[in-house]
Amino acid sequence: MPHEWGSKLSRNRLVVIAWTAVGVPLLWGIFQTLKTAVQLLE
Amino acid sequence: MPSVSAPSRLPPKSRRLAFLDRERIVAGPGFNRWLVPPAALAIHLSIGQAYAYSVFKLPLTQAIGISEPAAGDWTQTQVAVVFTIFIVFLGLSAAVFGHWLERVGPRWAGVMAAVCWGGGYMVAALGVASHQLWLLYLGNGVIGGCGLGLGYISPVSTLIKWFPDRRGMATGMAIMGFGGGALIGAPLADGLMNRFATPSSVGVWQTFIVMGSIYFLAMLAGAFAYRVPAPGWTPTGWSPDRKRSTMVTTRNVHVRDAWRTPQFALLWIVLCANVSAGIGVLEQASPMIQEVFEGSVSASAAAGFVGLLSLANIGGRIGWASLSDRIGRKSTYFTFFALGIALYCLVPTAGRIENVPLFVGIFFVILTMYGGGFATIPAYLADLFGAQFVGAIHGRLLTAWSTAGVIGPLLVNRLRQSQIDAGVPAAEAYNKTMYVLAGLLVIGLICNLLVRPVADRYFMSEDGSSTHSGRSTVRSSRSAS
Repeated sequence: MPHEWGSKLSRNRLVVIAWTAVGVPLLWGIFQTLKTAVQLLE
Repeated sequence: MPSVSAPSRLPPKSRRLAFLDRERIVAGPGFNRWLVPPAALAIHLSIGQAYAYSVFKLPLTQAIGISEPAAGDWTQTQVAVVFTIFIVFLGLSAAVFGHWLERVGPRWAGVMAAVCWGGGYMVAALGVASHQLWLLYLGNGVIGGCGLGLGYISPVSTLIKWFPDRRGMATGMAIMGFGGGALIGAPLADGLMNRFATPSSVGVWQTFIVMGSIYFLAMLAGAFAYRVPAPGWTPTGWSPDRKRSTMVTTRNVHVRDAWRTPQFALLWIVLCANVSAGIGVLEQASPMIQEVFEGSVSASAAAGFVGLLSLANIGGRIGWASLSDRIGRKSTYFTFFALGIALYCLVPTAGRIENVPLFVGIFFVILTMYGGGFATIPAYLADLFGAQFVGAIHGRLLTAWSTAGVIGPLLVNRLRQSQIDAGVPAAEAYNKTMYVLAGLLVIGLICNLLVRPVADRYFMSEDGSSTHSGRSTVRSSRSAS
């Protein structure tokens, strides 16, 4: 049964948490790739 | 009495996993649709590790010799077969299970993908520990490939239904994750292998177990975060009637009829041409730049070039797919092919005048369009065939990717070798290849130009039955809605 999704504030907080959870590893991966590329090009 | 006892036994059994069913994940009022893309990304970032499988290549060929290959060690060619199996089973499983996914919902598909992808790593770990190549093929290749296919298509139809106003951007975000998975997977695998390496082990099987567990949990989290919109839901302030283009339908074609349409065949060729050209270059990028600019580009710089291409591949997925929401899918693909033909024909010139930045720039743009092609195709399918069965239709279209995964690298490698055998200098050995790849894009360009709206007879009627195939599809279409 579908349920009501909390207050607007808690819903927005959940969105931020979810995006952070996937964004941080992705940014870490991009940073690692760029770091390796720069090291190799040097 | 059978009529009484059977139902009394069956419901508890079927209810045990009922929380995975589509009906149980219908979003309630107030659900924020921006929670769905991170769920899709969690799955795509995990399965995207397939693109970084080459980091295991060298250690797997030294599992016995440790510091160098010894007698009994697997060869690089034997290990490379895993990637081919990955891609073949990706296409096959997406095609076979696509319709099942539409019926049972994305959570079931996501969980099954997690079990296959994570479980595949466990079987492969057993294969490495016991040095049984067939277990490596079965685990990473066959079981992992099925997880790859299910995981790849699981969020597509869900995202398209949540973002009817921005289909390209939504699927672009998820499919960007598939490209990004390699950026996380490669350094993670490298770090873990260094940690687990001992004088008697290269640390691969331990790495497989850790990575398999991490990916299983991440994909499971993604699968449980999936929600599907309630029937008839639309974004606030948006109406399907606002669509102006004749290339965007508000009706639906059943998957059984979709693949019989000329539009499906044309899009299959479009995807196959775009991917064949891009994947061939991607696979050969490092040796190619070193051979074209012999003496001026080192192996290290070539590795940096490959890293840049990976970023282009990812950026193109979200960038081009989002742009397609504004300019239309057909125009987007026209740009890929027209610009691609010009750029491939320009590559020999860049090599001849020894202009490295121009060469790198050309391939950077080409790889954005390679990624963009993957990300734009689900939205193109939804525009032409409707959103109801897009997951299943997309699954069948992915056989074009499997085909391209074999054709592209084969074409590039064979053409280069034939040029070398004919006495052409290594620096010019890729010129003919570039013209052949441009020719592939010409075929794609023509097919894209031939795409027209799907004929009325293929669309399902209002009661959900398929009018073209002559068979009733009421049951399956209702369960998929």
